[in-house]
Amino acid sequence: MDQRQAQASADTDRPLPVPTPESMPYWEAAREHRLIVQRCTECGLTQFYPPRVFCRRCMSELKWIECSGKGVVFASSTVVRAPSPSFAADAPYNVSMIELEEGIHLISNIVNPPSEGEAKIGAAVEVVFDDVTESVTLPKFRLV
Amino acid sequence: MSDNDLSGKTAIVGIGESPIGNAGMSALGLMAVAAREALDDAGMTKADVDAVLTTESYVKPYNRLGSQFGEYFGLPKGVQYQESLSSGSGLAGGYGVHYAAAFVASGLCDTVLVVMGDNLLSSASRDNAVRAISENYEREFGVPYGPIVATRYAWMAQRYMQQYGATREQLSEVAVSARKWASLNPKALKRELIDGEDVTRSKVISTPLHMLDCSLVSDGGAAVVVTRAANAPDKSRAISVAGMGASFGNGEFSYDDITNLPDLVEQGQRPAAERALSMAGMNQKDIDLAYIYDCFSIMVLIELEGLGFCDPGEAAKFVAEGNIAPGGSLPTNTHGGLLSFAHPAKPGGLFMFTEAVRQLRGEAGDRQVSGAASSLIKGHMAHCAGHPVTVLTKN
Repeated sequence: MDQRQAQASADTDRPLPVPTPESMPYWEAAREHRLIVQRCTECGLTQFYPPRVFCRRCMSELKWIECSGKGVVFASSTVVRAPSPSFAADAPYNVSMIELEEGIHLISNIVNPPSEGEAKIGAAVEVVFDDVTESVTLPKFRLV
Repeated sequence: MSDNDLSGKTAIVGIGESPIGNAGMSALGLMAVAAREALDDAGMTKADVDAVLTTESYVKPYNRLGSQFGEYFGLPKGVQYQESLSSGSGLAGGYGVHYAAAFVASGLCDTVLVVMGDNLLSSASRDNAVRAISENYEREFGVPYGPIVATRYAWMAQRYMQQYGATREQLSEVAVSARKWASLNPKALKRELIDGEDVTRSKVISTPLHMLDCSLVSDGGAAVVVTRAANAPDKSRAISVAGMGASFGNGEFSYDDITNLPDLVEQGQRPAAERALSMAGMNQKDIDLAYIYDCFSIMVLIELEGLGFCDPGEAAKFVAEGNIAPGGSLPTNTHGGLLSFAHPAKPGGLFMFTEAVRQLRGEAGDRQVSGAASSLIKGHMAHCAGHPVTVLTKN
């Protein structure tokens, strides 16, 4: 655990995800350091947000699939002005949109951003897991 | 009812605005001041109002704000509908006017008051307002990672600039142009002229966006009165609702969360613009004034292209050449916009309507655009979910 992660763990007033019944499997898997998303058992559409009770396209059953954890940077920014005091100690820090190999986008942090600023679009990343509290793990990404 | 039947059937006959900045009133007070001014401007009274449409407050979760406003303002018991639109910031103004026009054109109502206000600055403080808005989107899967509101637009700016080779200097000209308009508006909160270097010298918020790329935080309320065009008390000052259209998303599905917006640059505005313009029997070249929800500078470039005013990749140059500034070919946000006039969050988009009406009536003072006869108004919710487009014309 690097210094930033240690800082996050100590910080309990930071906003944490509040799972829904549908999203609970995602966060439970994250605690086990696995990244999962939903895929339709009929049309094959992979979908992420929000986790659903059936496919957003064809309304068939969904199953959770394990992601490779690999992807690329879709867009990236260095947050200098934190949105709230609980993030201020970390600023500047990276917040990016990641495009997973499975084709979905998610918001996350790049934990080893370039020293000169935000990450480049298209840069390869892989998932890492940040155990921010005893019960919450956030999937994050590192440039590879 | 066909599109043609709807065009011009309704008109904005009254506009009103509260004080902006730190106004020392609750959201309801700001709304009431704006509503009273709009009814006076229309030559109408409270008794003429069949329906009131409001939007929600970030400062105080009123719940049932529509009926709480009616109670505060003292609307007589004949009012049929008092409703608060829950949609995000930049949608509420456009949606409010579209719904009002549809209510009136259908005959369900005769006159609808659209009124929106919030005391974002005086009650919430700038820091708390920024926090509240930052935490209002992508709550479960985004907020835990610490993006600020600007971060979503920073991603758009990064992709836009890389895709088209647009420069940071060109992006700055959006804020510079807005400030030029504001300098001509005695009511605008930021009137001191700036140049491109001032933008990049201002504090970095979320790279590549600086403080002067970001909209203001203020109090403010605005109101418009929509009625049947044929019933306008003063037809010479009635501004026609000539075209309306809306769209939602640029992929296979509508969306709310930015992770479901497949392309951050081409965001799916065009169908809404084409529908609104077609209803008005116009095209982009017929539009004299543009009003674009400029919560962040990058949105003006994205919207100018998305709405069809510029070809893809051309907006940065178009803006840098002065085309949206005073004297330009497409005067845009002539009040100074959210960047330099005021931004009270959800009500912010309604100020585009009050200003467009003022311009089309020829009542805009030092910033009056000579001969302006048509305007296109475009709002969007945070990170561009939802695209309401409205065309207003002089009769």
